[in-house]
Amino acid sequence: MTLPLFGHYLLLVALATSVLTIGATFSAFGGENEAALKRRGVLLSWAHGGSFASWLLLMAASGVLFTLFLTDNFAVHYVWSNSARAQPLFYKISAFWGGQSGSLLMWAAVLSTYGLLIAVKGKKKFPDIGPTAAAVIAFVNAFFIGLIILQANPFGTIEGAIPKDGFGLNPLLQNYWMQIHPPTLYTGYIGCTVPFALAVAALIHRRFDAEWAVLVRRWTLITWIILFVGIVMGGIWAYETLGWGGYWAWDPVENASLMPWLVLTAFLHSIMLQGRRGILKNWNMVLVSLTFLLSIFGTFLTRSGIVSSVHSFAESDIGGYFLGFLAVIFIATFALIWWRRDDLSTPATVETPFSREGTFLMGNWLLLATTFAILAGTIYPPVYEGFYGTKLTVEQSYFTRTTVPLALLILAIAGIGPLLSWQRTSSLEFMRKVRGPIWFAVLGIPLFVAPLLYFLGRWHTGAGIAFLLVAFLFGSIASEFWRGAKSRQRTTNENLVSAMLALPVQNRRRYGGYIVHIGLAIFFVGIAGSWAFKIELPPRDLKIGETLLIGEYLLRFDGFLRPQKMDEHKSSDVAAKMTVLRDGKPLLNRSGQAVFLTPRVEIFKAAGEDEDKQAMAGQPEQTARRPAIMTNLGHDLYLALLGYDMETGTATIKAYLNPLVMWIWIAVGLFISGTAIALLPERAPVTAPRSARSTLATPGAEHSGNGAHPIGDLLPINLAREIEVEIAVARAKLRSQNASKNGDSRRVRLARDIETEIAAARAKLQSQTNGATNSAYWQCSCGRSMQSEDRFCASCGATRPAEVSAQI
Amino acid sequence: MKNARDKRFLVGGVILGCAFAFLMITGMQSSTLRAIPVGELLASTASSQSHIGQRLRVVGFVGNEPVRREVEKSTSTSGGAGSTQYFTVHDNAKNIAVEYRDMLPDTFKPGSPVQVDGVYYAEGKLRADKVLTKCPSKYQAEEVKNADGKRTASKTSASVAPQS
Repeated sequence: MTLPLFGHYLLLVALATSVLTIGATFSAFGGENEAALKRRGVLLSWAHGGSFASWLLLMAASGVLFTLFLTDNFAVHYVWSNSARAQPLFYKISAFWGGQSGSLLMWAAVLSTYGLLIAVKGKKKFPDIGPTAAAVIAFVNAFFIGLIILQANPFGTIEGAIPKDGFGLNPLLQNYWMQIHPPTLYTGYIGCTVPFALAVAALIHRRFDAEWAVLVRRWTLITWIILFVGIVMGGIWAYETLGWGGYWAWDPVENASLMPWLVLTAFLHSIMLQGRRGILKNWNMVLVSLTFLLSIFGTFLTRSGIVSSVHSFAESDIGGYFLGFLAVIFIATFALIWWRRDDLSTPATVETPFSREGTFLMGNWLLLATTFAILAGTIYPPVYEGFYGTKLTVEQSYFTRTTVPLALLILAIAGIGPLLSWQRTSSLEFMRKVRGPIWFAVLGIPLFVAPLLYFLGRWHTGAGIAFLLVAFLFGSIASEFWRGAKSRQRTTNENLVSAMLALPVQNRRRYGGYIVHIGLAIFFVGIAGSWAFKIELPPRDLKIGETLLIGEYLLRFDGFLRPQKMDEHKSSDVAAKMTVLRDGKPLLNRSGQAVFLTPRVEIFKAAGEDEDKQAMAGQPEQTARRPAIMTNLGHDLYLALLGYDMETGTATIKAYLNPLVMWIWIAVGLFISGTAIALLPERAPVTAPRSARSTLATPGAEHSGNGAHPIGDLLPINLAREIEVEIAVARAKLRSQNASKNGDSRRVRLARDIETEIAAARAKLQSQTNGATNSAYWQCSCGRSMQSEDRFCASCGATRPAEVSAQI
Repeated sequence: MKNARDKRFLVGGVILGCAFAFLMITGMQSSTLRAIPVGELLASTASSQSHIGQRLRVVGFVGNEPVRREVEKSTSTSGGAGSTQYFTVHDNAKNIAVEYRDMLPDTFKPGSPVQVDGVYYAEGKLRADKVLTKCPSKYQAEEVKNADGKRTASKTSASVAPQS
């Protein structure tokens, strides 16, 4: 048996084990009688084994493909078309995901890893949801493996004579970004399947409680940040390497990765609401399904060839399969949501837009609107072509026109959000809280907005508004830190700074989120600067000694530079030495030497000819222009060498001045650190009566606390209220069901389930609050009534009197 | 909606929604570019459907003649001399002359599939402001494969759609 054939068989068996996982899980949860329950354990361990086996087999298949690349096995078509003998080892490895079949295999391998993780982690805490989610992942993976086997098999061999050398990977793709951008992006992208699988499992098992919401939120956060980093890497790659001076082109494939991320962001926020108050269950189900559907749709767009893109794969029939799968998932998911609609409805709602929930929801709408605008612009060309036959293209101006206003609104909402209270905000309280941020914004005009616009060189309405909103958002989050630190200081003896620093440690999710929002604001500043204020000169021919003026920098062409020893793959490698001057003097680096930039042009040789005609099909000669970038906090000075003439000593230079680009990368760093803080496990809770927080968000009560709740940000008061409401609803339901004797068996089950859930939740609440489930009150000396669980008065911050504490 | 304040939110939301829809529709109208193959573009001049004067996208292949460069005699105020590049785009039958002042992409070479955006200012002449060529590794393998015609699929491999 040859290695490629072995790889092929591995795929077939992996498909079989995926089906095994699905089947075993399905029959494990099929029945509720005693015999079925006994069998369940056995079946679930088969399913678990199936998940493990699929993962192992796909890892082995990946190993086979890597081996084929590393051993230059050009009998395999995929290896031939993406690799060559002379290709550096580094790039033989990344050639794995250089084409259609290999990237699909990577998809299946990564997805099976997620499936295994879910199966393993879910076993303990979520014995029903865990295996079911793993089975859903296995289902999706079965589609992908089947697709690979039928349509895009990387192990296919070439009939006839085996070529002596491969076609090779284009030199433009041979840089370290090719190593890290696709795997990271795919890991995040494929990760969109995980929240979806957890949601489907929840729908099947009818379990939507707070614990599930917290689990989903964790997985969503991980996927979200990985996908974000993957997208950013693509931008950096385009910027640093490809020489057109930008990092985002609204290319359909770029949009395909951005759209699921936007909806995932919306879901991330609204799942927080479900965890806290049990609301928006329907909405969340729709959002998470939409995220997954968009991820599949995105890969359909990329691989089907219906949109023209610099990233797209060659056209093939594979698109049809994706559309079919998309339809199946769409119908199945929405049928499932419809079937469980009773479980998804709750009496609690978002009462008013003028609340924290309200801003979350408005943010959701804005993110969805942005996704819709991008989607419309991306699929308009193929749809139009389908109807009218003319090919169209949508230019970048459409995307900036529609997304910029939405981005500004999102920035505004992110600033207002922390100032509103949960459930409803009193106008008085809002007025009090908004004063600080407004002052920040007002002072920000002369201290931040104006100087920044002056630095950037001109007025721009959108940027001006953005900078003002950024100042407001800073003020809003700063005031939150201030209030939190102040209230913390009442119980600890820290100074203000340590109190502020301690806040993210204590309340990881909230303050991690605030850090991410600050990152978002800085991100917008960087984008506004580099997009609205960039200076781009058309290419200019310079003779040695001549200069080029761009912004405040003067560039002098001082001659050509060549490496001492040229790479054997290249036929030429020339750089232009461009000395950078400002105010007539050369810039000096830290060691006192003049700063110069060296944009380069490399020409890679064409693959050699051979007697064997098939080997002649190698890489043609390829030119690669490597830009030189000088970065500082103010600008990126970006130079590309387009061409040169050695005889006349002329270099053709294209110069860009992109302001504030570095701030984008700083913002990305904040995104990552904020997310990392939010992901850190909460500290173990202190046992004694835990300090609860009031329903109205006020400084003292919210931030008091000497230990985090085991399930995180839950509000037991709200839970208690909600439970009371649900008890009433359940009682009413039972009453109506009793009235109509032998009602619908489903209703009976529903009522009974509600009662069970409520009893369980009650018991949990009891153990947490040590019996204080009744809404007993205590009166503070300032006159405010607080619930017995609250240790601090929400208005004045006074501690709960001793006799009340004794009762609890 | 309980009170006046909430009603105001609803009204505000509706207004924003309409504004957004307006932005989308007008944006779509003003920012779309028709993509026209070379043959159709040249044929249209004769008929009443002339595209002369319109901004559009031409799709085709880069011509085999070397790109001609003309450098301007006078230098610009910021330094250096500008230049214009002249090349042709063809569809294996007819071709169109393109002039372009900016940077040609790295993957631009004779025979590359190319998309050129610009103003079709005279018959057979395009003044381009954007030139895009396809990402090479995925496309060229297919092109060359079919040219030499020897690449066939074995039983276990995927079928690759033939290029026209």
